[in-house]
Amino acid sequence: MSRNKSNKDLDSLKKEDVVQAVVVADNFSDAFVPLTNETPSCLLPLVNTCLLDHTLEWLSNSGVQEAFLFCSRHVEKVKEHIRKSKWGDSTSPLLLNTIVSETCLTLGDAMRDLDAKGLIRGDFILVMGDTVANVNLLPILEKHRKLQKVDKGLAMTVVYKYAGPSHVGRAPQDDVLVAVDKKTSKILFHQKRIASNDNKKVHIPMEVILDRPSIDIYNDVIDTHVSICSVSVLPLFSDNFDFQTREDFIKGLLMNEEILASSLAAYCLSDREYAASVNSWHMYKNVTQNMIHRWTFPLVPDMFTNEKEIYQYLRGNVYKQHPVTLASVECFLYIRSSIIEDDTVIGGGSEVGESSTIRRSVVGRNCHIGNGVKIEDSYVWDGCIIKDNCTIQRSVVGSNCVVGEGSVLSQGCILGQGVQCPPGYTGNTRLQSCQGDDDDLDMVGDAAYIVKLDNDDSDSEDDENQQIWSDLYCSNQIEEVDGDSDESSEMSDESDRSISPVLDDTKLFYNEVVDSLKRGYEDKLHCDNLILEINSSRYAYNVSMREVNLLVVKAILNLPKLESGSYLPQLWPLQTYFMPIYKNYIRNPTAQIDCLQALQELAMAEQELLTAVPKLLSVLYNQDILNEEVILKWHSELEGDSEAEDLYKVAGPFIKWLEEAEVESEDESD
Amino acid sequence: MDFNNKTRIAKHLKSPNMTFDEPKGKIHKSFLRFVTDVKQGKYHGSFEITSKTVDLLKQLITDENFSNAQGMMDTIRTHGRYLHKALPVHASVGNMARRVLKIVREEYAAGRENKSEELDPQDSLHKIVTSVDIGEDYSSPVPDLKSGVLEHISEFQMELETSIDNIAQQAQEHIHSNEIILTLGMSHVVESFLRKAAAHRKFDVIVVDCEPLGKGHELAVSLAKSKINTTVIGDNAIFGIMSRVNKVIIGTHTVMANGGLRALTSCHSVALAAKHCSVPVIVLAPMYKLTPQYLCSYDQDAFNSYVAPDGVLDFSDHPTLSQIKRYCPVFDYVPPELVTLFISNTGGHAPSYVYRLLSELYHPDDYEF
Repeated sequence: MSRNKSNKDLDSLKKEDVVQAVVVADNFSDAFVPLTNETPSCLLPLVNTCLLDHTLEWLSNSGVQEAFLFCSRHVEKVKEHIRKSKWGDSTSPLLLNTIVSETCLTLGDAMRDLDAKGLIRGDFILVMGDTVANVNLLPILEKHRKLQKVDKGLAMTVVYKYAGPSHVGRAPQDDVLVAVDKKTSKILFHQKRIASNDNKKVHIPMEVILDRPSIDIYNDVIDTHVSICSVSVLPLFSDNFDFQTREDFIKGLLMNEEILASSLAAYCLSDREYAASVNSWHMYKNVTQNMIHRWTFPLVPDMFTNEKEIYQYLRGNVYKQHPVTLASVECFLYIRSSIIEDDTVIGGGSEVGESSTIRRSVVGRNCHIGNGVKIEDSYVWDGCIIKDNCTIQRSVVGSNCVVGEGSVLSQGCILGQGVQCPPGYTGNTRLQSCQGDDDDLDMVGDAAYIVKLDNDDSDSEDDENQQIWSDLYCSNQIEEVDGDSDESSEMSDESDRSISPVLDDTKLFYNEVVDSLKRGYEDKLHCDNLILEINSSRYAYNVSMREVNLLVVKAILNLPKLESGSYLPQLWPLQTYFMPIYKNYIRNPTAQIDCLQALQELAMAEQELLTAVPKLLSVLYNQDILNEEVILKWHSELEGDSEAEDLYKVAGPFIKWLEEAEVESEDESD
Repeated sequence: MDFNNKTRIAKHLKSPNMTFDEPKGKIHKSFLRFVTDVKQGKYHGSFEITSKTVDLLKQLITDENFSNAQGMMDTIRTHGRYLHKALPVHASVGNMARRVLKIVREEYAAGRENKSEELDPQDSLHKIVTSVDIGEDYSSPVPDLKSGVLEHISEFQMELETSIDNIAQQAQEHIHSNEIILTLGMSHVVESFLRKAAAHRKFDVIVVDCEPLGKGHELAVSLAKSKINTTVIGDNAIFGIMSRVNKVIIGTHTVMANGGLRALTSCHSVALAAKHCSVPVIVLAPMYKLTPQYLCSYDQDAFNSYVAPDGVLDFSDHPTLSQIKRYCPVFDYVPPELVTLFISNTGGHAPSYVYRLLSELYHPDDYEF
């Protein structure tokens, strides 16, 4: 198919030959709050051009002739933008239809709505409105159709890009592990992983591997959120109301492959092709950098095709724009003794004051940057005024913000559109310009309020938010890694470890056991019932048998501490009362070791218990719960251990008696 | 900073009535579209871009109504300036606008025969230099100017189309039996030149691969299909093999006003090696590649163009990604002293003669838009 066909040729084409794309304008998330409060996510600027324009430019270059733009939030703004841009023009190379459905909250809703409207006639390309890419889609579509001939049920070709684990271009939420049949490119297994998860194991079901000559397992791919869909995708979404996201769709299809009679294929882009979806600040940062480094060529600032935007590309990946409209003198870019360093884009009409430094950043159009300002790894959008002596690091400053003199914005600070930061402000939070619905937002300045996180979310989601929050400043840049950021990331790592699920469950189980025993003793419940209770707790928290032994003994010995009054007098009635529980759990030598272990741990911490150790040991020995070999072995191991020295001494007399008794019994048997 | 200086110089050079900036509406839509297409790489090779530019300018003259030659020239100049600014690297685009301007001037002169002292391209240098200051007034109406210009442009298009053939016709004069010819990358002119020669003579060709942009393999395959003995070598072997080579024949992207070349990367190393081994370097350059510009900086806005760095370093090569700066320039500058001979569609020329050819091709007033 010729790539430069005009619209006239298009009409004469048969309808089936038209390459269609569905562009979903919304990302259905609040990753970019507060910047998306007033603006749809697809209209956020990336390197001074809005994301949607990047996406449409790419689609029209890669052979797509007709696109459906699906809007659900801020519809008027999207429409207005399209009307003004070249896409709304009659000579536009891409036939763009806007579909509106304000009730859609997820991608699944959007797909169902499209299905109901019946606009799609054949295979189509599904992309998000925030995609930046330079892939030619026609070969992928071709391959999809070829596979379709072999596999009638092929529903979707998912497009992946190679990028090894810990690749800078890899967002944690797009971390994925895929198993693909080498011969048919069919996806057999798909698992999304959280990068920070310590669990390095992956379980791949046997049936994936069986009966197949060879499969490829990819750990080094990222999901580009670009997919080639067959017609059957839309009805599949309609039939399964629980498909909310593309992820759900992939998972659901893989799980119910036979029932739904559909399959998925994978396509990995070569190193020369680029595609990424800007759905988080992490990706925003990476895609911006990749664009500045020209990986997205020809989609680079100096190749932008908007006639008003001609960028000049200078050494060190510095891009400067010359304003073209109505050149009055003040429209020219003034750069005096300022320093513009590597990887920087500066929009037209901007002024940079004296002795200001800009590094690895993007500055929008018509910005006024004062004297002595330092901007690093940050994104300053159009029309901002940065007053003298500000420092902006790893932050985003939305359009038309005013940052007061001497402010310091750092580590993931995000200013919504029109925020007026008071002079001398120092912070690293998100600010927005108006109160909005909540009127209990903390006020920082005239038009600056701290954005509140949604606390209603469950814990896990909160963590996720936190993650996205910190995306921007958890930079992989080797140079100038800030001490503060380092520390905070380390701390978060540690806290992650301390709340690892295993520990949590054990603790919960222990508390449960203590509660059961306490209640049981007070209400004089039968020990068999208590055992039943402990066992069910054990299954609920998935605690291993050995841990159960240890914890139960600990619980019993600790119980007197919880009661009022002195320890020792309470201990003995309790021991007699709970003897059946000892008998139930301490059945074999391993369990006896656990029991002694518990005793040892508590005795070393508790002086009162230490004095009771010989008596406890003899009670347990007499009840046949502990046998002498285990006790002797345990005691001999204590020898030489400085920490357990007291315990060794206290237990000494009992051990001596035990040894003598043994000798006697041996003598008797002789 | 050198950028700073440049703007200052640019401002200085700018004459007061010539602004850089055009109201958007003035530029014809087809031109905007053309710039987009060129930037996105929809045209392959400079010949396609060049002939498309002439088509567009011709269409522009057909569509618009002009009261006199001055109006026509202003419109062409406006569009030419836009193209030149939007596509600084594609010099041939600006050249075509200059050439069309020259055609208008000639037609105007022909229409007003009462003025006998018209410039003749064959005039002496002295006459050309002194005549510049006369300052021609193009406001008088000339009957049938438009049709005359359009006819002249059609002739010029014919010339364009045959230019590659014309160059290839001269192949036998330059390639002799049993010679070893070194070339590089993929160039249509070189391809047809070598093929033409191969019809009569037997010789060997060594193609430098020119990774990552050169597509030397493509040329090698095509030559091998025409039964030419072809060898592909890597860029690192250029110097080693040069002593065996009889002649270097290369294409170029642009010929600068001083006879220097803007050509594919590796051309400079080939030319230097050839100089060292005293091997003649022959450059095949159709007339439309001659441009009245000089090398003033190696930066992109004036000279070079940078593409995605994937040819230099893989994107998936992540440990190095954040620590290394990668550049993938497309062009080399080859100074004129390294070039032995230019072969254009009108014959062979020495590099020192390029300025003379330029004054034949374009009117000196049109050098700067």
